[in-house]
Amino acid sequence: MRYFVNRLIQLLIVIFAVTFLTSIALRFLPGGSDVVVALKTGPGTTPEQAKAVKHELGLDRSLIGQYIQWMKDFLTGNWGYTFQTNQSIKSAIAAALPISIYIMIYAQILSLLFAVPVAIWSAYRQGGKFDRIGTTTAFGLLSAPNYIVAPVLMAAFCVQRKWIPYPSVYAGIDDPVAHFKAFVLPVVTVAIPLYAGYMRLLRADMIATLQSDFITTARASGVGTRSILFKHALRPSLFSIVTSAAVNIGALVGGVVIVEQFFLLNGMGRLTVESIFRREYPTVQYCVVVLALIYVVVNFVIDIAYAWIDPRVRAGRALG
Amino acid sequence: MTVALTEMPVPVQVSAMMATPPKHRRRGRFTMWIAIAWLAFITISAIGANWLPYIKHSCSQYPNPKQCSTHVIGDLRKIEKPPAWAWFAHPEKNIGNGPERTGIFGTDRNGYDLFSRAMFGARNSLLIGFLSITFGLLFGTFFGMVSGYYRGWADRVIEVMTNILLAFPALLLAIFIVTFSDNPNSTSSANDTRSIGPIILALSILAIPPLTRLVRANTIMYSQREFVIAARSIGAPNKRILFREILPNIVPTLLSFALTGLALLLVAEGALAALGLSVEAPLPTWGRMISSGQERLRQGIWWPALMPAIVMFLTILCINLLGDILAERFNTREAIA
Amino acid sequence: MVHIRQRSSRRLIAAALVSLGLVAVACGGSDKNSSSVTAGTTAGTTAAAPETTAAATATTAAAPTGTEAAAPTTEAALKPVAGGSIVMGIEADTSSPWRPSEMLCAISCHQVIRNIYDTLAMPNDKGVPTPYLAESITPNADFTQWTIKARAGVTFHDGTPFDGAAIADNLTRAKTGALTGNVLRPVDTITVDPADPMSVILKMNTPWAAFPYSLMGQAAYMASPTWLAASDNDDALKSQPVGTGPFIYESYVPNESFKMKKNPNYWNKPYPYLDSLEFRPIPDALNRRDALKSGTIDLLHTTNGETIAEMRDTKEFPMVEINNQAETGYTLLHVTQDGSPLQDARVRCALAYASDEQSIIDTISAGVGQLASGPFAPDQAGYLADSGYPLKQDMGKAQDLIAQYKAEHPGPLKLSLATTQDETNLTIAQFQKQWFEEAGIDEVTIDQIDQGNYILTAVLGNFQVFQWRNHGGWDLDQQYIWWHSSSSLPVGQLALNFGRIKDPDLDKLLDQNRASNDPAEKKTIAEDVNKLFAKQCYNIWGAYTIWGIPHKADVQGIGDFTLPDGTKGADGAGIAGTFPMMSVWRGGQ
Repeated sequence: MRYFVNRLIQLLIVIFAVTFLTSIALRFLPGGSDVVVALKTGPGTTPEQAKAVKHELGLDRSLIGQYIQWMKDFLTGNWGYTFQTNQSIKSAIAAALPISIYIMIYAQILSLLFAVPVAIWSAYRQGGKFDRIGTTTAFGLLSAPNYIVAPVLMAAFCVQRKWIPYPSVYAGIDDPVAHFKAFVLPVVTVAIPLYAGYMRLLRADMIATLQSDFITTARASGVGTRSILFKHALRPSLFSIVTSAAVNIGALVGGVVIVEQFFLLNGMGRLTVESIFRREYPTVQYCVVVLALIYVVVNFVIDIAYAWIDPRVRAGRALG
Repeated sequence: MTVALTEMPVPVQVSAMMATPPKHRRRGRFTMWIAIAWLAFITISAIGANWLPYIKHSCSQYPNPKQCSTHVIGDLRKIEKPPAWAWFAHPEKNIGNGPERTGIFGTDRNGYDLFSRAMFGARNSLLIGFLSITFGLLFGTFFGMVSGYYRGWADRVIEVMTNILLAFPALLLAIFIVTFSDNPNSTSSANDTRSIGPIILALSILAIPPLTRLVRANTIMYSQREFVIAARSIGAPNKRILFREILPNIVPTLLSFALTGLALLLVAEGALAALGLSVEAPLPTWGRMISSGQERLRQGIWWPALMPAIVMFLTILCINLLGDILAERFNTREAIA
Repeated sequence: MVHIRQRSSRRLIAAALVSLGLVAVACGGSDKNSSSVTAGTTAGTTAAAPETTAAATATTAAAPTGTEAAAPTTEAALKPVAGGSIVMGIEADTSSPWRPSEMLCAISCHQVIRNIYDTLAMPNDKGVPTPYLAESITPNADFTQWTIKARAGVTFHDGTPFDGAAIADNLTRAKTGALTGNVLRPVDTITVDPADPMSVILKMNTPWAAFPYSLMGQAAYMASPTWLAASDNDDALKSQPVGTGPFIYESYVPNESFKMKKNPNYWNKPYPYLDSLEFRPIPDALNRRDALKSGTIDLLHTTNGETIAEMRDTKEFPMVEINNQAETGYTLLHVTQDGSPLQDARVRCALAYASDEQSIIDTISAGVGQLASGPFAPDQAGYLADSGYPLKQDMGKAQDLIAQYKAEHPGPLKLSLATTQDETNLTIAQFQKQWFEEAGIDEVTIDQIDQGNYILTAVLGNFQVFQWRNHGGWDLDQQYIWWHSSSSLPVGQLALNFGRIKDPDLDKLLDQNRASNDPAEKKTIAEDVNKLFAKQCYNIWGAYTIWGIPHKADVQGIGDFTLPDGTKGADGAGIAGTFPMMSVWRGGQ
């Protein structure tokens, strides 16, 4: 219970800090808050205009005051409109979030689907041909940046053979074929390094487990290979890969910017980056906060789940 | 994983990178020496790019173009040439413009020799990566050691700050920092070219949290060892313990982490370049060359993008290999998760 | 000093930044002409929409309906059929709000929005502004007063009747818009004719013979007064335009699609033919081409030389080319900046002599595009094959001029070139850097400005050398706001005369042209302007823009429409590079 409270307090502190920092970030832009004002009103701003904008954005209050106003807006859903295109920020984020989440889910599934069997077999036949090829490949895949992989995939499947339209045309899950076509290349691009990472993690853990005593005992007792691999050795080896995958749930949602940008999918990453480029500060604020919240809340849930599952973790966590 | 500063949080990436099983694997020394050789070549080329004979100097590298030894030669038409060895590449009909294929890597659309640009790019990219990881190391080690040794409220504060930093999506944070270091409304005569500072700042900030965590974990572990307890019992001051006892033990882990981190930051710099946030044109960095070459890639002109990509890939691979070997040597898996 | 209203200016700049920025993004995809620009160009053009955007007519117009590259003869035999829908790939996202006086519309935006709004006039194929939504546009004897009569029986999509009050409302708002206001500066008063509720009387503060040219573009988009009033206080409503046009707004998803459906009660029968339209912004030129090839879109527009060259060779996708009254791609120089070497004509002309634009056309644009000798394209008034501007690179001359300048002004010569993040523009800038350095400039830095800021940089004058595209149109008067010293404001203030040209000779010529109604005189004046630019080297000319519109084979009728008075309309219908969708239909295969 103490652990839970501890973690909860941490969570709240982080949320507070993230929202606070984001909400006051406007003040610390180079050029001062005049930059923001100028963007909203245009050059040649009159003092009254400046004052009005500053009031609207809360820049004329104290730091805490601005934060309170921002939090109020945030919690009541009054997120406002973009400076320049007059889009509702809330609906923009609401539209972008599912896309990123789709990518995240599909990429995780795809990568794990391949990583787990390959890792198990590599660990089992450690040093063998399969293992050597697999490890080298994984290593190589980890070293290839996604902004190289993406264009190569695009050239292969959209230009050479016109199987997939480019740029991706988003379709909801109600149109499965189009949905698949829209997501397949970005998902593969994201999944490749994920796969490599997961594979290495699981393989290493599996190898370590397979060397431990209880496995030797089981083998000596005549337990079959398949049973050893899947029933006995796999479960204890899952710690790292599950942690990694769990953390990625939060991290991937905001993290696949390059891929989204390249395939022109309007996910959270692309929305945030485009807003940064267009200096749409409020949109950036809300995007960042949403992403950060997802990340920390997901991690919090993972932590609690682990503590619940494995009491040793609670003690071990104290050491970090 | 190096890819994914965007895909995974760094600590997880790194632990995956360093996921070598305890059983000692006979990694070919051959591989290690190849990796070292390649990295040495790149580093030497990067440092000596100005005067090494095999590097042609594009005039834009120099503030004073009179210093450059080559110039855009010949007709502007069809100046983009494939590498000399690419017998399968079919450049368009040349209008009396010298050999159809030229150079180790070919030339780009401006006629610059790509190999030379890649070497200059090595300098810029490695500089950025190296400086970033160094700053990350400095601050990360400092915070990590303070946090891991003194524990108590210092530890909690640092942990919370680390978590806060980690909560922000990594690449977006970097993009934010780099973009907003530009003041869009300045009325100076359009001479605010992008400098290297914000990029290094952004990348360092990305590197600090995982390093802090790593150092902290290691510090805690070593703090409980006998020699530290012994040192404390004879009254050695804390600072001395930190520097003399703990730090030397952490260094190997740090090194292998730093190598991996360097690779990650190189890729991250490329990612920033892919979004247009790299150093001022026309200075080359690998990331920039790759992202600017992408457009040509889709027209079937593969060498401006693929050649620096291969160089970058090999370099990252070798860095990762070395990092991996070091990790294996010092077997530090337990210290990470 | 232009009177800028608070709200509209804010919106304006905001919209400017976006649309221009968006155009930049669009153009980001190397969708440009030799040394022309990305961002601002179209935005810039649209900023003074009516003026500069006049542009497109059928290229060679060999056959009467021959705007199609393929099978012109069979065209004549085909009869349009109603029905079908079209998806068009456009350069940039259109950017709301779409209130005509506040829009900062790039060419892509016009391509979209002109199907919802009609303009008061449209050019016929001789370039003469012909009343379109207006019934008549008549001047008084000395062009100080114009009367515009609304066409009878027209209603807006929301049922509001179109009448004199509607015209007055729209024009009054246009006058307060920061940019459209510039266009309508000579307009003093706008009043509904007390004798005829369908007519509006405009009094000018100076004789303005060329006024109808301004009624073909953005200043003359007619929006429903009911909607305008309602959306004054409703931000969300501003993004749902209501006009009289052949299509009715349906939906808009930013960066994704703009959908509209047929207006069954459109006044200009038999148009439109299509049931629905969708516009998809695909900024990258190659992506757009690939989208067409993979069938995702039915047609697209592009200025990317490589795409146009490729499509010229492709039978699968016939292509219409729109290149008359075209914009010119060029490099803008800031000519009155304190302390800048560009104040001296010798330095400017040295840059012109040092540039080898033909090579850029060949290298970057795959040979597509005609070398520009001045701001006027071959069928614009004032075009001269030889204006005195150096068309061929002469490095020796350039070095001479710089040497002369340096003899009088010791010290290092520094220049900064502003360009976008786009790779193609960067390549061009790098060539320019090499040339300028070879000519003797000591230090040339390239400043890549992110697209959101590109136009702002131009408008504020925060540059020395800047890539741009502009000056389409029919009449010299349409360039007035770009070149007249009254449009030039100090650095740091919004001004349309980006290069801050303050030339009394130029001013005189522009004013003369504004008041003149004599074609021969106007032609001479325009040619004089051309020669003046060549002598002063205010800009470094690049190439005349060509818009390629490749499409699926069953798409017909692009640029092939008739005006209400029976004459044939010009392709671009008054706005560079665009064409009205009302005459487009599918079939005939």
